[in-house]
Amino acid sequence: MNTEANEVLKTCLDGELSMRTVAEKYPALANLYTRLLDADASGEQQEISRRGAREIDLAGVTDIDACGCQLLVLFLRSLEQNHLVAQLTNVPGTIRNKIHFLGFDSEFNLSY
Amino acid sequence: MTHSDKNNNIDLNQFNQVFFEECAEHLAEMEQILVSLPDEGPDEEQLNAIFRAAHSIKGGAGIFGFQDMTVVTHVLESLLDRMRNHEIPFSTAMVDLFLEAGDVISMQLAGHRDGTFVRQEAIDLVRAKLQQVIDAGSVITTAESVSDESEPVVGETLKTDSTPPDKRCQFYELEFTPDPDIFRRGVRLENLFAELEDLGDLTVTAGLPVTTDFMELDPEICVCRWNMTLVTTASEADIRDIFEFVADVDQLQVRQVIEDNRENSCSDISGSTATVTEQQNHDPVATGESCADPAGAATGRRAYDKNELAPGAYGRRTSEAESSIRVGVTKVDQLINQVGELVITQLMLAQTASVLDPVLHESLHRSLLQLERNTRDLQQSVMSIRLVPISIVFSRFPRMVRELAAKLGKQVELKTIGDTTELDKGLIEKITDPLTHLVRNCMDHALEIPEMRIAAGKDPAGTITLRASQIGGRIVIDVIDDGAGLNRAKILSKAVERGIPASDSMSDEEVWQLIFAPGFSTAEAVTDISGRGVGMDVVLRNVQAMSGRVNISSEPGKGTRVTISLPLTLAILDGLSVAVGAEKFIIPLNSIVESLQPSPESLKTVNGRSVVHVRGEYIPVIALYELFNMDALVKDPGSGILILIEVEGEKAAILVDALLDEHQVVIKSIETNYRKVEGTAGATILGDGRVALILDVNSLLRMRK
Repeated sequence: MNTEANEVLKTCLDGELSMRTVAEKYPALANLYTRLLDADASGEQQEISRRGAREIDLAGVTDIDACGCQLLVLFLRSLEQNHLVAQLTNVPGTIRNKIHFLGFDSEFNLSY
Repeated sequence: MTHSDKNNNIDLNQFNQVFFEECAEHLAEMEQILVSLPDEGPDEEQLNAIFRAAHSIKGGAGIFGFQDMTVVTHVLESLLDRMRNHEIPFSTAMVDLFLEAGDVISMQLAGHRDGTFVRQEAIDLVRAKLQQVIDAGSVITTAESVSDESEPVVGETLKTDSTPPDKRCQFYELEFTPDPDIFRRGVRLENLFAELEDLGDLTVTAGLPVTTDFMELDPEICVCRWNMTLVTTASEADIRDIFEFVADVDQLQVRQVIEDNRENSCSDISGSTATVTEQQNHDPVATGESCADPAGAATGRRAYDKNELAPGAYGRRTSEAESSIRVGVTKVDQLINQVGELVITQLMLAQTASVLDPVLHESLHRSLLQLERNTRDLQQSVMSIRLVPISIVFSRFPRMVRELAAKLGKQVELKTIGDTTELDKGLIEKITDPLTHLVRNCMDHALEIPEMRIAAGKDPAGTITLRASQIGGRIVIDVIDDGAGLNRAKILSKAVERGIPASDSMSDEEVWQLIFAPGFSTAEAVTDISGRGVGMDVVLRNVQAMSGRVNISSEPGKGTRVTISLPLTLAILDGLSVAVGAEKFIIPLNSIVESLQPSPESLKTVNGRSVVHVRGEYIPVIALYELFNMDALVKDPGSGILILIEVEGEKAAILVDALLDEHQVVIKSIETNYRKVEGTAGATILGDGRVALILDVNSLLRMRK
């Protein structure tokens, strides 16, 4: 997982997001989650909101399964519970189809 | 690859291994049923069992990602399903085709498991053959349908009723709440959904709990559940079958929704369904279910599945999972080894305590006795883990006999008795080849062709009986045929021809032993089945390598019985401990004929070597102190004890200082722990903690030569 310079705003996931890799991806997402919550608590969120949306860039994701989808949904849900919003961006077609096939499209609010 | 990846790969490979084992079991089960089918074809239960095996293989292959294995199994399953529905009639040729399909699946399995070469053309061929049978069956079905449709249509109702209930589109709502560890079990839900999609129009919606603390999350635990709608002509049982390996009945709710218009096609029905649920309007005829079955969630499973402990239910948490577990042989061997050490420790304690006053140390002695009992029980229990039923070996013969009989133009009935007799797993693996050879010999040489049998007043069909039983601490396997019996004159003349010492004065038992001589064969013709003269000597060698014995009894015109006697296990040996100087040796009891104190006049020297005269026979004396280059108390055979041993008809007398005791000893590899010591088969640790070498009698005889 790569976090760009404006790291609080955008996180790039890459490779496989599946049962084989969730244990490895989870700490980075948890770290991002904590930082977003901390930023919110310290008032940085206003700045973040001003600069743009919080994004999870999936351009580099090569495969996803139900376990990977679940992790992403739970991440987004947890942010929502804290009145924070993040969006999936640059979702490759194959990943989009997989998300749809596994029944998660409504959870991700993906448009087709 | 990260460390985490590696760990996860290992986990998935373990699941694959389970699939491989289960798949092999299903194939064996399928083959066993197929070769035992009567001429009139399978009954419903047999057909269901074959279908179940094919279905389980296909389901498992799909879930574990071996898509290539689903190709043949899918067509096979389709054909079997049509046979179950009486759409395609059984024919005897189908047995061969199904066996061929089983072989192809086995080949694919071996390809995945062992990396062996997979012949794609064989896969394509068998698939085409199966499809051909389906298509031929379909033609018949279609013709019948056409005939039905040619009847005048009286009215709309009649037209609707003429459609078979199971061919109408049904609208189902599914609620799947998987087990939390479904991801960890390596189940690929996309494959599962793809199978459902094969049945019809599928819509999937995942649902997650509203509140979850992301920081407390275990990402590998499944908290999702899925709601699905499926429009299909398939039955509820078909749907449940897809979930067979991934969900218990209570984890999958299937509701049939009655649609507004039964004549809608599958493609347009989704928009015209009413939300009247099965609970409100249950049509038992249409669903094929019984209203009397109160087991709500359990309904929908086929009758034959209801009490099934599907052996292919890997990853399923059924009662089967609680009643048996799969454990690696290495782990079992480790356990056996540790218990062996415990036995030795217990013996050492007993020996140490034996010098203590039993009155003063009564409590200690009582406790040690208890320890001895418990240790012995524990050892027996642990050893029994390695025991597997001999049916594993026997089950391979029906097909072999069937095919050979067809090839040889003979009629043969195979009977197996004592299939549940248990034998050490290691022995099971080693006994397969010798038994195969014996059965082939029976088929090729012993059993006569039907005409000859009729002429001899026998049933045209010959019988081969495989019988296993446990007698004392040994397993006895008989291979019995009712063929022509061994030909004494022919064996003797062949022996003379080949320069094997033989005479007319030999007893029958001695003559029969001649067929174990290397290269011996009385077969008129060398066939690709047997008759090359390599075999019986190999059979004997293999059996003896397992500390076993082979005996033959035969009666002209009545048949032959070959009896193999094996120890229960290779890890423990019944032995006699003997002393030579300061050392102790263990001689395997199964090779000992007798022990004697020779009279001076019975001892002779021939060519500088000692021999002992026992009942008219001069037997060479082997002095262990000489072979192992050590000191002995007794160097003169006349003053010591001679232990008469016999292996493969060869006899020798081992000179020892004294006989000590009879033991059940735990065999340890001396080669692994030290180095190969010629003349020994391993070592054991005695009660006093000392190491005793276990003699390899065969090797001793070779060393003496």
